[in-house]
Amino acid sequence: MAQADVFPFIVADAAFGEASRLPFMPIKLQLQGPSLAVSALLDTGSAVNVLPYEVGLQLGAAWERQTTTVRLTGNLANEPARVLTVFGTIGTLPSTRLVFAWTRAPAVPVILGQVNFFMEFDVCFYRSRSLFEVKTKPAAQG
Amino acid sequence: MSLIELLTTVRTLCRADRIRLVQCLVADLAREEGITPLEDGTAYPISTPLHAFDAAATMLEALGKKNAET
Repeated sequence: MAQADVFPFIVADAAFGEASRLPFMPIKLQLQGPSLAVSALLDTGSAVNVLPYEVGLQLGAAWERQTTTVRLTGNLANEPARVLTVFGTIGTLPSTRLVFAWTRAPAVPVILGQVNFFMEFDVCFYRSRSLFEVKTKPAAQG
Repeated sequence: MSLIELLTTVRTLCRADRIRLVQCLVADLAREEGITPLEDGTAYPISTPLHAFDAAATMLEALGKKNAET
């Protein structure tokens, strides 16, 4: 049976109140040292997970040691990005390996996108109730 | 100019100008309060990497290799 946790939509800008609620979710990221608690935006329109440069450094990652580069789009297109794989723990759900585009672009949130967050978790958005539910994906059959 | 004189002058403006005046005053007050409304003609960044499928494919491949190692 899939495990599930429920989170509230967060007011991103107090000046705009209800109009600024977004699905930001607490998640603990871990690479090699202690885990780091961050708030990540669940973004179904994002093709990939995105990790800000400073967060990668805090996790103990070394930019020079990440040799796989990727080209992002939109505002992130002009800054270099490299592939970084870390473990993510959401609430009471089991720890899961997440692959990020680690970007040098400034002022970017941690973004959880299609590859591979939404491939690993089933998410239901209940915006009318300002809630969303995150479930582990069903175990593979056979 | 007193407020009463100002109101008298404002009421001589056409409807469109009066609406524009209200908008300007609201924007000024919001700015003074530190509230920055979205402004016409200004570009706002959106971080979402839409259609970055090339990056997504590369990352899936890297993840597959990582999973195979462990």
